[in-house]
Amino acid sequence: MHSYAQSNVQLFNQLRSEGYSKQDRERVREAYVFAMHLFTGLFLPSGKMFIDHLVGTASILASLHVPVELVAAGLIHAAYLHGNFGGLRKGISETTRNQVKLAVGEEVEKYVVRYELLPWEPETLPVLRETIDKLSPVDRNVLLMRLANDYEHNLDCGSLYRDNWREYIQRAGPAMVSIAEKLGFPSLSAEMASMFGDIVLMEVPLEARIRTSEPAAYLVVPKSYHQRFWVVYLPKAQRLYSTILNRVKWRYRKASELCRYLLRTTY
Amino acid sequence: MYSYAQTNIQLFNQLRREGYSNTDLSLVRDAYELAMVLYSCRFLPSGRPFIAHVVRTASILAALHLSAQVVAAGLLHNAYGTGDFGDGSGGISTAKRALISRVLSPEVEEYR
Repeated sequence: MHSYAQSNVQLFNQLRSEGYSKQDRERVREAYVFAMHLFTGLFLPSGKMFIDHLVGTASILASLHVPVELVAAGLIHAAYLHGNFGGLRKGISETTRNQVKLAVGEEVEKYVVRYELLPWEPETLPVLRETIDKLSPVDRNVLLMRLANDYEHNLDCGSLYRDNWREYIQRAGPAMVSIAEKLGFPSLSAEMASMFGDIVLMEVPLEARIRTSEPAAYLVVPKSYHQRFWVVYLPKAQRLYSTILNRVKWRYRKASELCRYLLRTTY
Repeated sequence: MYSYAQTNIQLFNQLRREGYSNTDLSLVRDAYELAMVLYSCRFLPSGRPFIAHVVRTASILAALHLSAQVVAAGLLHNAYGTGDFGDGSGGISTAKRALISRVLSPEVEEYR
Protein backbone atom coordinates (compact mmCIF):
# COMPACT_ATOMS: atom_id res chain seq x y z
CA MET A 1 0.00 0.00 0.00
CA HIS A 2 1.17 3.53 -0.81
CA SER A 3 2.56 5.53 2.12
CA TYR A 4 0.80 8.88 2.06
CA ALA A 5 2.11 12.21 3.35
CA GLN A 6 0.84 13.53 6.66
CA SER A 7 2.86 16.72 6.78
CA ASN A 8 3.60 19.48 4.28
CA VAL A 9 7.28 18.49 4.19
CA GLN A 10 6.38 14.91 3.23
CA LEU A 11 3.92 16.21 0.63
CA PHE A 12 6.49 18.44 -1.06
CA ASN A 13 8.99 15.58 -1.11
CA GLN A 14 6.33 13.39 -2.69
CA LEU A 15 5.46 16.02 -5.31
CA ARG A 16 9.13 16.25 -6.27
CA SER A 17 9.49 12.50 -6.57
CA GLU A 18 6.24 12.17 -8.57
CA GLY A 19 7.54 14.66 -11.13
CA TYR A 20 5.44 17.73 -10.40
CA SER A 21 7.22 20.84 -11.69
CA LYS A 22 8.55 23.72 -9.61
CA GLN A 23 5.58 25.88 -10.67
CA ASP A 24 3.21 23.10 -9.62
CA ARG A 25 4.86 22.85 -6.22
CA GLU A 26 4.59 26.60 -5.83
CA ARG A 27 0.83 26.40 -6.41
CA VAL A 28 0.54 23.68 -3.79
CA ARG A 29 2.63 25.75 -1.39
CA GLU A 30 0.23 28.69 -1.83
CA ALA A 31 -2.71 26.41 -1.07
CA TYR A 32 -0.93 25.03 2.02
CA VAL A 33 -0.22 28.51 3.37
CA PHE A 34 -3.89 29.37 2.86
CA ALA A 35 -4.88 26.13 4.62
CA MET A 36 -2.65 27.07 7.58
CA HIS A 37 -4.79 30.19 8.02
CA LEU A 38 -8.17 28.58 7.45
CA PHE A 39 -7.73 25.46 9.54
CA THR A 40 -5.25 26.29 12.26
CA GLY A 41 -6.20 24.89 15.66
CA LEU A 42 -8.77 22.56 14.13
CA PHE A 43 -8.78 18.91 15.20
CA LEU A 44 -10.77 15.86 14.16
CA PRO A 45 -12.63 13.91 16.86
CA SER A 46 -9.82 11.35 16.64
CA GLY A 47 -7.39 14.04 17.85
CA LYS A 48 -5.69 14.23 14.49
CA MET A 49 -4.97 17.72 13.27
CA PHE A 50 -7.29 18.76 10.47
CA ILE A 51 -4.41 20.10 8.44
CA ASP A 52 -2.82 16.62 8.50
CA HIS A 53 -6.03 15.25 7.03
CA LEU A 54 -5.91 17.87 4.27
CA VAL A 55 -2.30 17.04 3.49
CA GLY A 56 -3.19 13.33 3.38
CA THR A 57 -6.04 14.01 0.96
CA ALA A 58 -3.73 16.03 -1.32
CA SER A 59 -1.13 13.28 -1.08
CA ILE A 60 -3.62 10.61 -2.19
CA LEU A 61 -4.57 12.77 -5.16
CA ALA A 62 -0.93 13.43 -6.05
CA SER A 63 -0.20 9.70 -5.99
CA LEU A 64 -2.84 9.35 -8.73
CA HIS A 65 -0.95 11.93 -10.85
CA VAL A 66 -3.93 14.26 -11.17
CA PRO A 67 -3.55 17.89 -12.33
CA VAL A 68 -1.91 20.16 -9.77
CA GLU A 69 -5.09 22.25 -9.43
CA LEU A 70 -6.82 19.21 -7.99
CA VAL A 71 -3.95 18.53 -5.56
CA ALA A 72 -4.15 22.15 -4.40
CA ALA A 73 -7.93 21.86 -4.07
CA GLY A 74 -7.41 18.74 -1.94
CA LEU A 75 -5.49 20.90 0.53
CA ILE A 76 -8.42 23.23 1.08
CA HIS A 77 -11.31 20.96 0.12
CA ALA A 78 -13.20 21.65 3.37
CA ALA A 79 -12.78 25.43 3.17
CA TYR A 80 -16.52 26.11 3.02
CA LEU A 81 -17.40 23.55 5.68
CA HIS A 82 -14.77 24.15 8.36
CA GLY A 83 -12.60 27.02 7.14
CA ASN A 84 -12.26 29.98 9.47
CA PHE A 85 -12.56 33.07 7.30
CA GLY A 86 -12.77 35.28 10.36
CA GLY A 87 -16.45 36.00 9.99
CA LEU A 88 -19.52 34.69 11.68
CA ARG A 89 -20.99 32.51 9.00
CA LYS A 90 -19.40 29.47 7.47
CA GLY A 91 -20.23 28.13 4.08
CA ILE A 92 -20.33 29.46 0.57
CA SER A 93 -20.78 33.19 0.07
CA GLU A 94 -19.58 35.78 -2.39
CA THR A 95 -17.05 37.03 0.17
CA THR A 96 -15.58 33.65 1.06
CA ARG A 97 -15.46 32.57 -2.58
CA ASN A 98 -13.56 35.73 -3.46
CA GLN A 99 -11.07 35.08 -0.66
CA VAL A 100 -10.45 31.56 -1.93
CA LYS A 101 -10.11 32.73 -5.53
CA LEU A 102 -7.65 35.41 -4.49
CA ALA A 103 -5.52 32.90 -2.57
CA VAL A 104 -5.48 29.93 -4.92
CA GLY A 105 -7.04 31.02 -8.20
CA GLU A 106 -10.36 30.32 -9.90
CA GLU A 107 -9.37 26.94 -11.28
CA VAL A 108 -8.77 25.56 -7.81
CA GLU A 109 -11.78 27.29 -6.26
CA LYS A 110 -14.21 25.75 -8.73
CA TYR A 111 -13.26 22.30 -7.42
CA VAL A 112 -13.68 23.41 -3.81
CA VAL A 113 -17.11 24.94 -4.31
CA ARG A 114 -18.39 21.95 -6.27
CA TYR A 115 -17.01 19.65 -3.60
CA GLU A 116 -19.14 21.43 -1.02
CA LEU A 117 -22.25 21.14 -3.20
CA LEU A 118 -21.79 17.44 -4.01
CA PRO A 119 -24.66 15.41 -2.50
CA TRP A 120 -22.54 12.80 -0.70
CA GLU A 121 -24.52 10.45 1.53
CA PRO A 122 -24.59 6.64 1.62
CA GLU A 123 -28.01 6.87 -0.07
CA THR A 124 -26.80 9.08 -2.94
CA LEU A 125 -23.65 7.10 -3.75
CA PRO A 126 -25.36 4.47 -5.95
CA VAL A 127 -26.96 7.29 -7.97
CA LEU A 128 -23.59 9.02 -8.38
CA ARG A 129 -22.02 5.72 -9.43
CA GLU A 130 -24.64 5.20 -12.14
CA THR A 131 -24.27 8.73 -13.51
CA ILE A 132 -20.46 8.92 -13.64
CA ASP A 133 -20.42 8.65 -17.43
CA LYS A 134 -22.63 11.72 -17.72
CA LEU A 135 -20.47 13.88 -15.41
CA SER A 136 -18.19 16.62 -16.73
CA PRO A 137 -14.41 16.15 -16.27
CA VAL A 138 -14.50 18.72 -13.44
CA ASP A 139 -17.26 16.87 -11.59
CA ARG A 140 -15.44 13.56 -12.05
CA ASN A 141 -12.41 15.15 -10.40
CA VAL A 142 -14.59 16.47 -7.59
CA LEU A 143 -15.90 12.95 -7.08
CA LEU A 144 -12.32 11.68 -6.93
CA MET A 145 -11.47 14.35 -4.35
CA ARG A 146 -14.41 13.22 -2.24
CA LEU A 147 -13.17 9.63 -2.43
CA ALA A 148 -9.69 10.77 -1.41
CA ASN A 149 -11.22 12.60 1.57
CA ASP A 150 -13.07 9.54 2.83
CA TYR A 151 -10.12 7.27 2.16
CA GLU A 152 -7.82 9.61 4.08
CA HIS A 153 -10.11 9.55 7.10
CA ASN A 154 -9.49 5.81 7.14
CA LEU A 155 -5.71 5.86 6.70
CA ASP A 156 -3.96 4.17 9.61
CA CYS A 157 -7.44 2.92 10.62
CA GLY A 158 -8.16 6.48 11.75
CA SER A 159 -11.90 5.97 11.48
CA LEU A 160 -11.72 3.53 14.41
CA TYR A 161 -10.64 6.40 16.64
CA ARG A 162 -13.94 8.21 16.19
CA ASP A 163 -17.60 7.33 16.56
CA ASN A 164 -19.96 6.21 13.82
CA TRP A 165 -17.35 5.81 11.09
CA ARG A 166 -17.38 2.04 11.08
CA GLU A 167 -21.11 2.09 10.40
CA TYR A 168 -20.58 4.68 7.67
CA ILE A 169 -17.91 2.54 6.02
CA GLN A 170 -20.15 -0.50 6.11
CA ARG A 171 -22.93 1.45 4.39
CA ALA A 172 -20.91 3.54 1.95
CA GLY A 173 -17.70 1.54 1.46
CA PRO A 174 -18.78 -0.82 -1.36
CA ALA A 175 -20.21 2.04 -3.43
CA MET A 176 -17.03 4.10 -2.93
CA VAL A 177 -14.89 1.19 -4.08
CA SER A 178 -16.91 0.79 -7.27
CA ILE A 179 -16.93 4.56 -7.92
CA ALA A 180 -13.10 4.57 -7.77
CA GLU A 181 -13.07 1.70 -10.26
CA LYS A 182 -15.51 3.46 -12.61
CA LEU A 183 -13.51 6.68 -12.44
CA GLY A 184 -10.54 4.74 -13.81
CA PHE A 185 -8.45 4.30 -10.66
CA PRO A 186 -8.30 0.53 -10.04
CA SER A 187 -5.31 0.81 -7.66
CA LEU A 188 -7.21 3.24 -5.42
CA SER A 189 -10.27 1.01 -5.61
CA ALA A 190 -8.24 -2.03 -4.52
CA GLU A 191 -6.57 -0.11 -1.67
CA MET A 192 -9.92 1.13 -0.43
CA ALA A 193 -11.51 -2.31 -0.59
CA SER A 194 -8.62 -3.80 1.38
CA MET A 195 -8.66 -1.06 4.01
CA PHE A 196 -12.42 -1.04 4.49
CA GLY A 197 -12.33 -4.82 4.89
CA ASP A 198 -9.67 -4.54 7.61
CA ILE A 199 -11.40 -1.73 9.47
CA VAL A 200 -14.65 -3.60 9.88
CA LEU A 201 -12.78 -6.37 11.73
CA MET A 202 -10.54 -4.19 13.95
CA GLU A 203 -10.97 -2.60 17.35
CA VAL A 204 -9.20 0.25 19.10
CA PRO A 205 -8.93 0.31 22.92
CA LEU A 206 -10.72 3.15 24.65
CA GLU A 207 -7.41 4.20 26.20
CA ALA A 208 -6.17 5.30 22.78
CA ARG A 209 -9.16 7.49 22.03
CA ILE A 210 -9.23 11.22 22.64
CA ARG A 211 -11.88 12.19 25.18
CA THR A 212 -14.16 14.52 23.31
CA SER A 213 -17.87 14.56 22.63
CA GLU A 214 -17.39 16.62 19.47
CA PRO A 215 -19.04 14.85 16.52
CA ALA A 216 -17.03 16.72 13.88
CA ALA A 217 -13.91 18.86 13.51
CA TYR A 218 -13.46 21.21 16.45
CA LEU A 219 -11.27 24.13 17.42
CA VAL A 220 -8.71 24.07 20.22
CA VAL A 221 -7.95 27.69 20.90
CA PRO A 222 -4.55 28.47 22.45
CA LYS A 223 -4.89 29.73 26.01
CA SER A 224 -3.31 33.11 25.23
CA TYR A 225 -5.83 33.85 22.52
CA HIS A 226 -9.40 34.96 22.90
CA GLN A 227 -12.12 34.42 20.36
CA ARG A 228 -14.29 37.41 19.62
CA PHE A 229 -17.47 37.28 21.70
CA TRP A 230 -19.84 37.54 18.77
CA VAL A 231 -17.97 34.87 16.80
CA VAL A 232 -18.30 32.42 19.71
CA TYR A 233 -21.73 33.17 21.11
CA LEU A 234 -23.86 34.45 18.26
CA PRO A 235 -23.85 31.11 16.39
CA LYS A 236 -24.99 29.42 19.61
CA ALA A 237 -27.88 31.87 19.92
CA GLN A 238 -28.72 31.34 16.25
CA ARG A 239 -28.74 27.57 16.72
CA LEU A 240 -31.02 27.91 19.76
CA TYR A 241 -33.36 30.20 17.81
CA SER A 242 -33.61 27.80 14.86
CA THR A 243 -34.19 24.84 17.22
CA ILE A 244 -37.04 26.66 18.96
CA LEU A 245 -38.47 27.78 15.61
CA ASN A 246 -38.40 24.21 14.26
CA ARG A 247 -40.12 22.94 17.42
CA VAL A 248 -42.86 25.58 17.10
CA LYS A 249 -43.33 24.77 13.41
CA TRP A 250 -43.53 21.07 14.19
CA ARG A 251 -46.14 21.59 16.92
CA TYR A 252 -48.15 23.90 14.65
CA ARG A 253 -48.10 21.30 11.89
CA LYS A 254 -49.22 18.56 14.28
CA ALA A 255 -52.00 20.78 15.66
CA SER A 256 -53.16 21.56 12.11
CA GLU A 257 -53.21 17.87 11.23
CA LEU A 258 -55.21 17.13 14.38
CA CYS A 259 -57.69 19.89 13.58
CA ARG A 260 -58.14 18.62 10.03
CA TYR A 261 -58.63 15.09 11.32
CA LEU A 262 -61.22 16.24 13.88
CA LEU A 263 -63.07 18.27 11.27
CA ARG A 264 -63.14 15.27 8.93
CA THR A 265 -64.44 12.88 11.60
CA THR A 266 -66.97 15.38 13.00
CA TYR A 267 -68.62 16.26 9.67
CA MET B 1 14.58 3.30 7.51
CA TYR B 2 12.02 3.20 10.28
CA SER B 3 8.85 5.10 9.40
CA TYR B 4 8.05 7.32 12.37
CA ALA B 5 4.59 8.56 13.30
CA GLN B 6 3.43 12.01 12.23
CA THR B 7 -0.03 11.90 13.76
CA ASN B 8 -1.46 10.74 17.07
CA ILE B 9 -3.24 7.91 15.26
CA GLN B 10 0.01 6.62 13.78
CA LEU B 11 1.64 6.94 17.20
CA PHE B 12 -1.12 5.00 18.97
CA ASN B 13 -1.00 2.30 16.28
CA GLN B 14 2.77 2.09 16.72
CA LEU B 15 2.48 1.78 20.51
CA ARG B 16 -0.03 -1.03 20.14
CA ARG B 17 2.21 -2.76 17.59
CA GLU B 18 5.23 -2.42 19.87
CA GLY B 19 3.38 -4.03 22.76
CA TYR B 20 2.70 -1.07 25.05
CA SER B 21 -0.14 -1.80 27.49
CA ASN B 22 -3.49 -0.03 27.62
CA THR B 23 -2.30 1.80 30.75
CA ASP B 24 0.68 3.05 28.74
CA LEU B 25 -1.65 4.12 25.92
CA SER B 26 -3.77 6.00 28.42
CA LEU B 27 -0.74 7.94 29.72
CA VAL B 28 0.42 8.84 26.20
CA ARG B 29 -3.14 9.81 25.24
CA ASP B 30 -3.28 12.16 28.28
CA ALA B 31 0.02 13.71 27.21
CA TYR B 32 -1.25 14.15 23.67
CA GLU B 33 -4.43 15.84 24.90
CA LEU B 34 -2.29 18.30 26.86
CA ALA B 35 -0.05 18.81 23.81
CA MET B 36 -3.16 19.68 21.75
CA VAL B 37 -3.86 22.55 24.13
CA LEU B 38 -0.27 23.72 24.55
CA TYR B 39 0.79 23.60 20.92
CA SER B 40 -2.45 24.31 19.05
CA CYS B 41 -1.98 26.78 16.16
CA ARG B 42 1.81 26.60 16.44
CA PHE B 43 3.91 25.89 13.35
CA LEU B 44 7.60 25.36 12.68
CA PRO B 45 9.29 27.67 10.15
CA SER B 46 8.99 24.84 7.60
CA GLY B 47 5.20 25.12 7.87
CA ARG B 48 5.01 21.82 9.71
CA PRO B 49 2.66 21.86 12.72
CA PHE B 50 4.55 21.74 16.01
CA ILE B 51 2.38 18.84 17.16
CA ALA B 52 3.67 16.77 14.25
CA HIS B 53 7.19 17.38 15.56
CA VAL B 54 6.42 16.30 19.14
CA VAL B 55 4.53 13.24 17.88
CA ARG B 56 7.50 12.23 15.80
CA THR B 57 9.83 12.74 18.76
CA ALA B 58 7.60 10.47 20.85
CA SER B 59 7.51 7.96 18.01
CA ILE B 60 11.32 7.79 17.86
CA LEU B 61 11.40 7.15 21.61
CA ALA B 62 8.73 4.44 21.30
CA ALA B 63 10.71 2.79 18.49
CA LEU B 64 13.57 2.52 20.98
CA HIS B 65 11.21 0.73 23.39
CA LEU B 66 11.57 3.32 26.12
CA SER B 67 9.02 3.52 28.91
CA ALA B 68 5.60 5.09 28.39
CA GLN B 69 6.65 7.90 30.74
CA VAL B 70 9.52 8.80 28.42
CA VAL B 71 7.26 8.60 25.34
CA ALA B 72 4.72 10.87 27.08
CA ALA B 73 7.52 13.26 28.04
CA GLY B 74 8.59 13.26 24.37
CA LEU B 75 5.17 14.67 23.50
CA LEU B 76 5.73 17.54 25.91
CA HIS B 77 9.48 17.90 25.69
CA ASN B 78 9.35 21.57 24.73
CA ALA B 79 6.34 22.52 26.84
CA TYR B 80 8.21 25.14 28.86
CA GLY B 81 9.87 26.63 25.79
CA THR B 82 7.05 26.66 23.24
CA GLY B 83 3.85 25.65 25.05
CA ASP B 84 1.10 28.21 25.48
CA PHE B 85 0.06 28.04 29.14
CA GLY B 86 -2.00 31.19 28.82
CA ASP B 87 0.05 33.32 31.22
CA GLY B 88 2.12 35.01 28.56
CA SER B 89 5.42 33.90 30.04
CA GLY B 90 8.05 31.52 28.71
CA GLY B 91 10.15 29.13 30.74
CA ILE B 92 9.60 27.03 33.80
CA SER B 93 7.31 28.08 36.63
CA THR B 94 5.83 26.32 39.62
CA ALA B 95 2.31 26.62 38.22
CA LYS B 96 3.30 25.09 34.90
CA ARG B 97 5.15 22.26 36.59
CA ALA B 98 2.14 21.62 38.80
CA LEU B 99 -0.17 21.47 35.76
CA ILE B 100 1.93 18.86 33.98
CA SER B 101 2.43 16.88 37.19
CA ARG B 102 -1.31 16.90 37.82
CA VAL B 103 -2.36 15.93 34.28
CA LEU B 104 0.34 13.28 33.84
CA SER B 105 2.59 12.49 36.77
CA PRO B 106 5.58 14.01 38.59
CA GLU B 107 7.78 11.34 36.94
CA VAL B 108 6.83 12.49 33.45
CA GLU B 109 7.25 16.12 34.45
CA GLU B 110 10.77 15.38 35.71
CA TYR B 111 11.80 14.43 32.14
CA ARG B 112 10.64 17.72 30.54
